Order: sequence, then structure tokens, then C-alpha cells
Amino acid sequence: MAEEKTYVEDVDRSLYDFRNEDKDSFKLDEGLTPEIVKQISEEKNDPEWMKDFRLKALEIYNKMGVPDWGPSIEGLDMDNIVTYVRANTHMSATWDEVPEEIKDTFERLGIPQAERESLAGVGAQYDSELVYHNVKKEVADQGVVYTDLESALWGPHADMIKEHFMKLITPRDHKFAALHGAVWSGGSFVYVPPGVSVEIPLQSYFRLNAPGAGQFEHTLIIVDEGAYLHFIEGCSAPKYNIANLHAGAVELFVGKNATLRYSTIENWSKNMYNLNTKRATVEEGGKVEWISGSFGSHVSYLYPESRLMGRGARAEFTGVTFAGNGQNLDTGCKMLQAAPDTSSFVSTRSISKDGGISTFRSSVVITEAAKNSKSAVSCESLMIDDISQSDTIPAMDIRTADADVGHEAKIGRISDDAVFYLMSRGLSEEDAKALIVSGFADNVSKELPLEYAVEMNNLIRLEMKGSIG
Amino acid sequence: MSMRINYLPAPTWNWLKMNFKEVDEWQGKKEDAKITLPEGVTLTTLEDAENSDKSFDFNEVGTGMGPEIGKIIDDSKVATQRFVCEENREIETPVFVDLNYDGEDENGNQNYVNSYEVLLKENSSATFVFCYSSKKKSIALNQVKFIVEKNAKLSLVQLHMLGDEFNMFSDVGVRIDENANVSQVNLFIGGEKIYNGFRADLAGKYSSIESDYGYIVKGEEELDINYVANHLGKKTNSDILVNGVLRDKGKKMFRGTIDLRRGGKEAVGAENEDVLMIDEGVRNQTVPLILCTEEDVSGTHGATIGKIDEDLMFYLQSRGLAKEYIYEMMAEARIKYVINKIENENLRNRCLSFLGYDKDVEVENEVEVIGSRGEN
Repeated sequence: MAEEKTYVEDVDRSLYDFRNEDKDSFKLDEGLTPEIVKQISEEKNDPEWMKDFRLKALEIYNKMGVPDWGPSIEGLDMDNIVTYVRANTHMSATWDEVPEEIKDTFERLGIPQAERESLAGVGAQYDSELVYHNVKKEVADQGVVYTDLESALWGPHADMIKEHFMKLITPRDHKFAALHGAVWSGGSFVYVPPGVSVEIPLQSYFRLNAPGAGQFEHTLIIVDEGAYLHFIEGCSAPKYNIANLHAGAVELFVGKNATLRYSTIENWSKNMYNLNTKRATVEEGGKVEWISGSFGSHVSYLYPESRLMGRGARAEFTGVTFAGNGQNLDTGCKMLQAAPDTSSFVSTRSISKDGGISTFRSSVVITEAAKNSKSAVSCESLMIDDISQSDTIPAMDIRTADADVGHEAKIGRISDDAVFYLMSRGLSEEDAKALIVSGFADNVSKELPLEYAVEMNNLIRLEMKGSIG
Repeated sequence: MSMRINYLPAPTWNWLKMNFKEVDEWQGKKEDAKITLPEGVTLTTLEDAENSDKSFDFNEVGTGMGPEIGKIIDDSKVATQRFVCEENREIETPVFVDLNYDGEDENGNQNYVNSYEVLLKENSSATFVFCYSSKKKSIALNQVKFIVEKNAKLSLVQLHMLGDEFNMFSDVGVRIDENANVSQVNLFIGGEKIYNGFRADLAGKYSSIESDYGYIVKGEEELDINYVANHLGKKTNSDILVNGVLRDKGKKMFRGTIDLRRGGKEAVGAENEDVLMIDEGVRNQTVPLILCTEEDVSGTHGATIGKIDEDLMFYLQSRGLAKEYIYEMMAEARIKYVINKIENENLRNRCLSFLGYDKDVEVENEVEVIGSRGEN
């Protein structure tokens, strides 16, 4: 039985923690000034309206305060963050053209392999710029546009981007949305034409290599009437001793009777401040499905929002958050139901271990116009030890009597009986607990494509390793 | 000047406007309550009582509204009155504090402030009833702090039966020691604006609290509730069940927090709210929090908000009942469920009569009065 008691070790993150030497890259100075913002705009060859937009966003950023309700972000000093880092390369459409070291990074993360096996298109961002973008010909032939946002600003869809860019997430939303508006760089633009169903997923992968840098990619997806898309977002970074910042933005426009599934496995390093904003607007009969796994980051503020603006629009949010040592992950979702017959469904699990803090935060707002709307929220939390913390902060604001809203939450520990049973079947205590936690998080893993579900379960196994002392 | 009351112990997004309630500061004078004082209970006014027992620090007992409400009591220069229940004594007759704010005032419209401390000594048991009523246009605050000592048992009833021009602040804090128990009924059936705070510190091992809240918010009334159960001791238990009805343009905010603190092993906390929304124009806000820093605990919360369940509605309609009648019946059933938790029959009848549910019940409005009006 001795092998069932193990020493509490740090999680093995070697899969993500390797780093490339920060050389030959172009960097702007640390901090945030109008000059730096103008420089970013010039580097990126922005249209004039975008340059003006950035400077306006910077003004808003300077006027807004940091959030006073969530985890502390005192360790984040914007004067020390480099907002723009460009590797010494340009964007390629074949992996052969990507510099060896960067290609090796993505090889080790399994991106080209996944592209060959199970993806319709891939975008790979390294620090502030995309280094690879490609979409399969048969998907492109359907009229699907999947490209980097910068190129799209000058391409045939320039007007469409101008019409949608930061209209859903505006710089006035909060301080880090304003920051994003000022210094955004990289990210993808996807347009799926009416009636087109993209059978296999598209994926963007974001890798932040430079220490003390920020990543501010912007993802803009428009799924037109009756179309279908599954988009996968992955992110990771090596660990440094200084703070890194991720303040991306994801804007999703789901058209009439269209469906968009947006899956994320977030595994930033544990020095990362992940202050990301994601929002979808859904028209009549449309549906947005969020699948979200949060494993990394030092501090996270992440609450994908669904705005159900058309009759019969639907939203689902399925999430798991795993907070370990030194992590304060404040995650959840927001639902705004502003049209009749809308429905929202939320199912989340959170796990706290080794002093980690996990907070589930949500809002469900059903307006006067949302007659005959429904909402169901379920959140469960698991405490692995008594040095961790787990909070549940759901809010409901219901403004019509013609609504049906249900909410349930539970918090507790791993059942001793379940561990005992599994151990009696021959599992070690560690494996038994890891199995129970994997099962606890199966609301997310069963919604992911197989290879991502396997990766997520591996992450849980890694996180659970050494949890028994 | 304004002040913030009914804080969420862990705030959320400011745009939701749920983190606290901002109200104007005001001052008032003490209302001379009619008090029924059974044997085994003493009552003193603290500024007069040189010999009163000062070994109990009620300043450590926090209340649901939070510290800022204390400014109204301080500014109003109202003396706190203290009840003490003898140890090892089971006091069967309820301590009835009737705060009827309809008395004549020399200065016309008058605001009222009352502050009480209640000590239930070891192995005692007692029932305290605070009844707030008025047909006037006015504002009142009643704050009560309890210390419930080892093995003591407190039954607390608060009845809010106020007119549609009355603003009421009712604020309670209770410290519950080892193996002590509190059960409470908190009923809100009238008042233009009612702000209610309740905080229980389950300090002792095996301490427990059960709460039943019931409300009907109608017309243009507003109800703002903050309930906090802090599980500090081991094997503590808290349970709150809230049943409510919103109609006309009624607005209600319910903040409910179960805080399972580190060290409070084997604590169990539960909260549940069931809200029936009848008319368009109503607004319901609910924030049920579970905060947890202890592994060996269990916390649950649930909420059901909105219209009557479709299957139930279909069944009742299939039995020949009209939709409107079904809503009235369900509303009445919900609030009667809470009223029936009140042990005293006369109080139950008073509530039913106020709501117009039981026209034929006999209601005794008079209570035994200690002193001319108040205890002095």
C-alpha cells in the first residue's frame, strides 16, 4: 500500500513549459502611451479608422479603474508589460516556411498533427502575430473565410470587419476591453456563408513566448444564416518569473438559425494574468455553445457572454475550472435573454486544490421582452483539500413573470466511499481520486472532440498527481 | 448623505447593482414598544442600568445590514435596551415586542429607531416576536442583536405588516454558541420599502439555525433582503427556505450567503428560494452565494423563479380550475406555508387577516403591556 501515498509535488508542465530564447524578435518599449499605440498601428499598417479607434480606446483605458470585485491584479504593472512582440518572421500558409524553432514549438504542442488529422483549418499565433494560417481547400471552396484579422482589414471583407469590430465588446465595457482596443494584434477572422456547414472544426492556437509580454489577439467570427461552425481555441505559454498578460477579445455573431460551437482549452502558464473577454450575439433561432476548460493562469477573469437577441435563440455554456497552487481563477458566464422563447443552459464544474482559489461567477438577465424564456444553471464545486477555496456567486435578474428559471449549486468533497470502492477494485488512492475528478469534469470532456477530451483528461491527471500526501 | 447596507460578502459585477443597497441617512426617535415580558426575562435600558451585566460584548455581534446602519442609531442617540433570559429556564410565553408606529407625534411625521440586545443564557429557551405595523407614512429602524449561549434555544419571529407608505429597516445579528439552536420565521407582507438584514455566526460546535422566509411584494413595493450564515464552528448546520410571491410592480432582491469557513469541519449549509412571479411588471433579483474555505463540508443552494410549472398548471387546469384562480391559490399556499410555521395562533390569524385570506378569524390586537407604553 506504500505506493499509494505520494509526496506532494508540483505539477509536471514540461509539455507546455518549454521556452524558446527570446531573440531576434521585434519589441516595442514596455508600458502604454499614445506613441506606443501609434507605433503598433504603423507596424500593423492599420487603416486610418483603426488608428483613430486605438487612440480613442487608449483614452478610455486611462479613465477607467481596475475591477474592485474580483481577484487581485496588483501584481500586474502595465508599465512593465510589452504590448507588441513580433517574431522575426511573416505569416505563412505552409509549415515549411515557418522558422524551425517556432515550428518546433507548435509541433511539440501537436498543432500540425491535429491539423492533418482532424481540423479544417489552423491559425497559429506566436506572441503578437500569426505565423501560420491555412484552411483546407474544400472548406475554402464552400466560401468559408478563415484568415488573420490584419489581412482581412484590407481584403474583400474589410467593410464587414469595420461594421462588426468591437461593436459587441466595446472599449467602454471595462478597462481591459479598452486596453485590447488600443493594442490588439493578431487573431482570426472567420466568415461562414449562409447555409454552409463546416463539418470539421477550425482551430486557432495562441502561444506567448516572450517574458513580460502581453497577448491581445482579436477573434471575430460571423456565422451567417443557417450555417454551422465548430471553432476551437487553444492557448499556452512557458512560465516566467514576471507577469505576462493576456487580454484578448472574442466576438461571435451567430445569424438566424445558425449554430456556433466555441471550444477552449486554456492552459496558460501560472504567471499569466488572463483578462480575456468573450461575447456572442445570437439572432432568431440561432444557437451558441461554449465549451470551456480553464486550467492555467495565475489570475483569470473569464466570463463568456451570450446575448440572445432573436426569438427562440439559445445558448449553452459548459465549463470546467481547475485551480491549483498559486492560482486564482474567477470564471463563469453571462446570459442576457432579450427576446421571446429564448433559453439558456449552464453546467459547470470547478475543482480547487493545493491552495488554489476557484470562483464560479454568473449572471442570468431575462428582460421584459423575453416572454416564455427559460434558463437552467447548475454548478458544482469540489474541494480536494482544506487549504483551498471555492466560491459560487451566481446572480439572477428576472424582469418578466413569463419565465421559468432554475438554479442549483453544490459544493463538497470527494466521497470517501467512492474512493474506498475504487481502491477495493485495485486502483491506487491517487488514481481513484483522479478518476473521480475526471468523471466530475465529464460535462466538458464529453462535449470536446476525442483528442481534446484526452488532452483535458491528461491535464486533470497531471494536476491530480501528487495530490495525496 | 447616503450609506450602503445589505452588502454581499463577496461582491460581483457592479453593473448588476446587487452588491449592496444605497440608502439615504436619516435620524429618528425611539418608539415606545408595547412589550410582553414573561417571567424569567428581564429588560433594562443600558444607559440607565448601572448594574447591567457588561460582560457580554454585543459589539462583536455583526448584523446583516453591516456596520454603516449603526450610524442611524448613533446619530439618533437612542439607548439600547437589553433582554436577558435566565439560564436553565424554559420560557414558554413569547416575548412580544409590538412596534406599532401609528402613535400620535407632536412633531407630525416622525421617524423611529429602536435597538435591542438579547441574551439567552445557557440552557434557556425563549421565543421573541417583533411585530412591525403602521398605516402611516414614515421610516423606522429596528436592530436586534442576540447572543444564544450554550444549549440555549431561540425562536425568533419577525412580522412586517406595514402600509404602502412605510419604509422599514429591520436588522438582526445573532451569535450561536455550542449546541445552541435558532429557528426563525421572517414574514414580509406589507411595506413600501423593506430592507432586511440577518446574519448568523454559527460559532459553537453543533450550533444550528433554521430559517423560513415568506413574502408577498405587491403594488409598487420593494423588498431588499440580505441573509448571511457564517459557519465558524464544527458540525454546524444552517438551512433557509424562502417562499415568495411577486405581483403588480413589486420588486425583490434576495442576497443569501452560506460561508463555510476553514476549520468548520462537517458543516452543512443549505438555501432554497422559490419565487412565484404573477404579473408583468414585477422584478426578481436573487444572488445565492456559497463561499467555502473548508474541504469537509457540504453546501447547496437552489432557486426556482418564474411562472407555475407547466405540468402542474396543465394538471390543475384539467381539473377545471381557471388560470387566474390557480395563481391566487398557489400564491396563498406559499405564504400560508410560512405563516403556519408561527406557533402562536393569534399571530397567525393576525397575518392572515392582514392579507385578507381569512376574513372570519378572530384577531386579538391587544397584548399585555408592561408599563404605560414601554417598560419604563
